[in-house]
Amino acid sequence: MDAMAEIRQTFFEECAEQLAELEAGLLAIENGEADSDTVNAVFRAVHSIKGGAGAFCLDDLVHFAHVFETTLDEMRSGRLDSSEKVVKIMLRSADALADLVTVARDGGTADAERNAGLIDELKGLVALAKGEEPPAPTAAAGGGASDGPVYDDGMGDIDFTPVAVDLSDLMGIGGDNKFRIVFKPSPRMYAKANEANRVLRDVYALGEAKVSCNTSEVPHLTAIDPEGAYLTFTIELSTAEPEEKVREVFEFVEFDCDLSIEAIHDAPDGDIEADDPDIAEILARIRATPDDEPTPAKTDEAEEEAPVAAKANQPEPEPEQAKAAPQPAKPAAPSAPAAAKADAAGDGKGGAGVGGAAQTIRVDLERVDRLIDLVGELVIHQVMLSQRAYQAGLARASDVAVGFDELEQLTREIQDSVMAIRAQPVKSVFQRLPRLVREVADISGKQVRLVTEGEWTEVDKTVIERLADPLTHMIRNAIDHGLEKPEDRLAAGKAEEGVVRVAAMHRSGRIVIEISDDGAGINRKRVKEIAIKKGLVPAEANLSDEETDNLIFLPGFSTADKISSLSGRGVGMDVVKRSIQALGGRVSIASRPGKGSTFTMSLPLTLAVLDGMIVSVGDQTVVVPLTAIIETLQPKASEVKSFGGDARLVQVRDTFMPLVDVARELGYSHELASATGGVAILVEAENGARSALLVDGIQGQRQVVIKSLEANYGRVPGIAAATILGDGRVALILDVDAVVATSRVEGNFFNSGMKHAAE
Amino acid sequence: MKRTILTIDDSRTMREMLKVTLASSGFTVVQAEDGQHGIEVLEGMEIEPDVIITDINMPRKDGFQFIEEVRADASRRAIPILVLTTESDAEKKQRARLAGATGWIVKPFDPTKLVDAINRVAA
Repeated sequence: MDAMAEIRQTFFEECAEQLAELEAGLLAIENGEADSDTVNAVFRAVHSIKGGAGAFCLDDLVHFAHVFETTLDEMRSGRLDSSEKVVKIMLRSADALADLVTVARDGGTADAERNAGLIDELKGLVALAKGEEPPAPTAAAGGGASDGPVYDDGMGDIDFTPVAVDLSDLMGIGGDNKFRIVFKPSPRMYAKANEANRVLRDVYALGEAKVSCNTSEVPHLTAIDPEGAYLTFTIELSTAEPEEKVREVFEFVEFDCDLSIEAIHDAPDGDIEADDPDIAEILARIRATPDDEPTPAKTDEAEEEAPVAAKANQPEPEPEQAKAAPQPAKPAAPSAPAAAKADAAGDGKGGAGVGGAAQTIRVDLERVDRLIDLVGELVIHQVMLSQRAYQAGLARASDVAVGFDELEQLTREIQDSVMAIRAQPVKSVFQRLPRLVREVADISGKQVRLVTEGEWTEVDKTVIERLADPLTHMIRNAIDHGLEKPEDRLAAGKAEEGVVRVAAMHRSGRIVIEISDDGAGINRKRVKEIAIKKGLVPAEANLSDEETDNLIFLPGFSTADKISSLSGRGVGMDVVKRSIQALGGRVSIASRPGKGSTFTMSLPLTLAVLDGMIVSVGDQTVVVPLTAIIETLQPKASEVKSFGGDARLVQVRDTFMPLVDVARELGYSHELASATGGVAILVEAENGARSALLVDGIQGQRQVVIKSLEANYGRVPGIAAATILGDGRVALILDVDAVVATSRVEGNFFNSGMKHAAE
Repeated sequence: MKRTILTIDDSRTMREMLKVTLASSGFTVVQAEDGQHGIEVLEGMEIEPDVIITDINMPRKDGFQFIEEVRADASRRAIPILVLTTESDAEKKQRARLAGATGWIVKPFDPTKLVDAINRVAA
């Protein structure tokens, strides 16, 4: 069934949200930042999961969620303290619940042993909260009735579900069942929108019924309370249905009326009540409900103005009708006040019923992407149009030109707004981190506190999705390799508990995520030894601290002597680096011995557009991402030094940096361009390495729509992506990091060592 | 004329499930996401719903508060309100009843019983 499959998907989506909420709430409780709203939200999260799981018959999930929910309910009602021990159990239960959800969605088996253990622990907490009873009463569904507090309606010991009494031994089996039903509605019943006539109709539906109505209690017209209830119905029913069916009719009203249902034997004598202890007991209990003398009942149940409204609708009821007045009057009444209300609330939201307070809508991602694509095309065409107009001789000061400017402005705004639709806070990724940290900490035997900052920082959805893996790996790495064991930390004069801090922020049009730990920092001596042993750098290499730190990003580098199951899966930091680079991002490391390390990832906010400088290279046009550019200059002959083959350095003030001939690098020309003929664009890679890119000239600066080259053609070294320019031509977007890295390979022996090792 | 049901549940899963069930039985479904939203939607409706189905546990305003608020308006006493409860919520059923609920539906609900319950309380 399509609809069910869709709902199922919704359910799992919702589960993910609820689980995130659950964990966030529990963590807040752990940190002592929780108020009652948090506890309620946590309870609701589990409750919701249970509700949905029930609909899909996910019994394991329902059972676990039920026990969990029961425990949370104790916390919610204040009987269970949110001590560290309690919260830890709950956090582990949340993890188990998440696993059960995953199993329910993807198949597989849950860790039954762990879950059973947790269920025992949870039940233990409930027992603790309730005094010192043995942990048992939390069994599955159904047992709740007796646990519930007794309410003042005198019915506390009777479940709200219909009371079924087996009277089969009193009845002739199979034959026509006959019942005498005495039914006296109370005003309360009408106040809850139940109506005698509907109940009677349902009784009729069961078989043959004779109804008589006792009107003797109807007062004089002047004394009549329009919301009162004065009628008593006596029904003689003969039906093929069993008594349960008859009782079911009164299911919703049984507590709001005087009701007796008696099975009648062939000779109806009507006095069974006293003979049968069961019925007598039931009746006694039912009678114990506060009786509905019209007057006191009115003050309980009715609003002061209510009778007026009802009277207005039925000014002169005949006694007969008046008895039934609450019924017909009610349905008629609402329309008028409701209309008045709609008018009164006519501040713009009067319209459709669904309108209301909906703050968000859910949109298929494909639609958004289609829109983004179209807006991208719109931007290109807008630029093309104005370019052609100017080429055709449009005066810059003309009205049309002003119109073009405005159009450009608007197009930009549309583009930004459309991009913003895809932007999401990184919270969704950050939410998964606490569990990761707990698990890694458990396995590695380290004590870790996770601190997250800037979780509301927004970035494109695709970036978020692809952020999770590298981030996960870097955090594992930070705990596994960065933080010391508790005893070592104590020996080093640090707190036993290590801190891993993950912070997101916007910085110059990019999102920057820092993962820092207060561990031992990178052991540079060791790193260098390994790199030399593995032939990644020549033994005589003289490396700066920064260069040494960055060795860990080299393919095939792994500092762990034995392969750890944590950082494992054969994924090294080189893969992390590559996956970040594939996103147009960069990663760098800063480490201080004994103090810890900080990994910094910097990613574009969106994968759809980029601010670039349009430059000419040979007969081609190339886009250099603006974020990488520091400055542009025209090198003088005296500032350019050649050495060893084609390698050149350019002097910028008091430093030298490699001068990269972009045309040659990209294979547009084979000859080395004259350094003085062009423009040098000073760029900086994410690791801080700088190079000067030699191009023929600068055309301008504009935002370009990124078209993936990999998706449409294939990966080209040195090229990040492609774009379509205003005049319709395709231009390539330079991968600055790659070009800078290559230039430095040629530029110094350390990197050439790296290059050889990589080959 | 098609009957209109206002369903109030903070769970998207439940809302969709109710919607599919009810729509396939020929009801018009109006949805709200919690008690507060339910009140707002109710205020905005030109014609009162024939039946309201509400969850109990919800943020901002729970089902009890919602029912009490609806019943506090004398003109809305005639709207049948069914409560969605889980089997283990006996205590909640009672509270809902005291607040003014017309009847209840046990979660997870059986579509036939749900429709049956609606037909029993709808005018």
